[in-house]
Order: sequence, then C-alpha cells, then structure tokens
Amino acid sequence: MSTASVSGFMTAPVAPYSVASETSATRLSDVSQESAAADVDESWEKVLNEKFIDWGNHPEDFLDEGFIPPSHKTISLAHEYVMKPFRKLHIPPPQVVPDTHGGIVFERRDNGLFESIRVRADSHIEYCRFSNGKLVDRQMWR
Amino acid sequence: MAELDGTEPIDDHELLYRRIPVSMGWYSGGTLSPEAFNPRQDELTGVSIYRDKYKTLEEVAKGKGKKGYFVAVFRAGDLRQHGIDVVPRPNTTDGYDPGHAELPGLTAENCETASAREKKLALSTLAIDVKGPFVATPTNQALG
Repeated sequence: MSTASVSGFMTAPVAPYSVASETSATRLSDVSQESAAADVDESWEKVLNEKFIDWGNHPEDFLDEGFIPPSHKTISLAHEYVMKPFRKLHIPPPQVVPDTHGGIVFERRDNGLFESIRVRADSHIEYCRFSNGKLVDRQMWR
Repeated sequence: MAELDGTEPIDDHELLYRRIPVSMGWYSGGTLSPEAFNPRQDELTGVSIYRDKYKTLEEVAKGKGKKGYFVAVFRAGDLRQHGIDVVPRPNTTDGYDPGHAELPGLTAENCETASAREKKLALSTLAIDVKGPFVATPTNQALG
C-alpha cells in the first residue's frame, strides 16, 4: 500500500514550524520541532503498549464478548504497514481500535470527513473515506 | 389496556440503549467508534439494542467483561430519520426478553456493505449520551 495514496491521513503535519535562518529563534524552533516529534513518538509508543501488545496478550477480552481478537499476524501487519510509516513521518496517531472480526482500524475525523485504514484479519488493508456520512472512496490492498 | 410484552411498536420518542465494552476502546475522548455497532457473528438478524421502558442502564450494562461497559443512549426517532430501522425482538436465543430490540439493517452478513458502513458511522454520531462505565463488583456479580 502506498501511504501517499491515503490522502487525509497524510495531511496532518505534526511540526508546523519552519526553519527560516540560523537564529536563536530557529534553534528554538528546532528544539520545538524535536519536542513535537518526540511527543508524537511517545503517543505511538502508547498505542503500541496499551493497545497492540495488550490485545495480543489478552484475547479473552474479545472472546468474552463474542468477538474475534486480532491475531499476532494482524497486529504485526498493522505495526509494519501503518504504524511505522506514520511514526516515521511524525504523523500523530489517530484513534486506533479493534473491529469485531479480528481486524485493527485506524480512524480519523475532521469536520464532515471520516477516514479509516483497516488491517483485516485476512491480511488485506482497506481504506475508506466518508464525506458527510456517505462512503465516497474505498480501496483495498494485499 | 393490553399488557405490554415487548412486541408493541417502538415509538419515536423511546430511548434505546446499546452496550459498549470498555475493553474495546470504542468510546474514548467523548467519541464513539463506528466499530461499536458491528454485529457479532451470532447477530444474524440485527444488532441488539435495548428499550429504556423495560431495562435500566445497569441491567443493560451487565456482561462478562471485567473492565465493564458504557451504555450509549439513542432516541428511536433519530435513528429512523437517518434510515436506521429499529424493531422489537423480544424472542432471543437466551429466552424471552421484552426489552430486546434490533437494528435489522445491520447483520453479520451485510456489515461490510457501503450502506451498513454508513449506518454504523451515523450511529457513532447519533448517541444523545453515553453513560458509565459500569463495572461489575463482586456483590453485583453474585446477584447476577
């Protein structure tokens, strides 16, 4: 999957600071930029620990509800093909939730726009975009 | 007046409850995920929902999950205005429950269609409130 083809998720820069010149203000903005990137990294680390690892270690939370837990393979795919690229680009994590069929969904809302990237239990990755509640784009990769 | 048994039609003004497991993270930061409305594998005729006129929030929030449950509150008329039908279904696989109702447009078989995806997204925005979390205590569990 080309992350560049997944529009909305790619348009949220984490560091809106511009480095204009070699001034103390620039050095401060460098520090701010690093700090913002560190915050994003910490947020993704939280997703990894509090969600991915927890889901893998506690399938009973899903089974008790009659749901299918994400497999280690699905978690690994979500980590490799969604989390790592976004983390590398310092894109903050959107809402990350499991679905009921063993998949993992990354969700983003912005006014009338809703987007999701779903790592399915069958190893397909699906992107959906809704505009004002209507599904306007849907793509699938393997 | 006929005794109410859960078969009477659901009025537009009725409040409806949907149980949301805390453990799934589907309710966070004041936002509901559409995944909270995905049917289970055994929800072949529709997603389960409960009628306020027969069930308390605490009754709806009972389940096996150790982390407890939130309960999303809806108004039946709001769902219908968005093309989401709601019908009484007191006959369940676990016995007769006058408070049980269903959203027949969302089933285990059709939940991947565009229409179902749009309904789930709509549901995630239509809750008038989310109560809880309700976490079972040993005393509550003993009372069943």
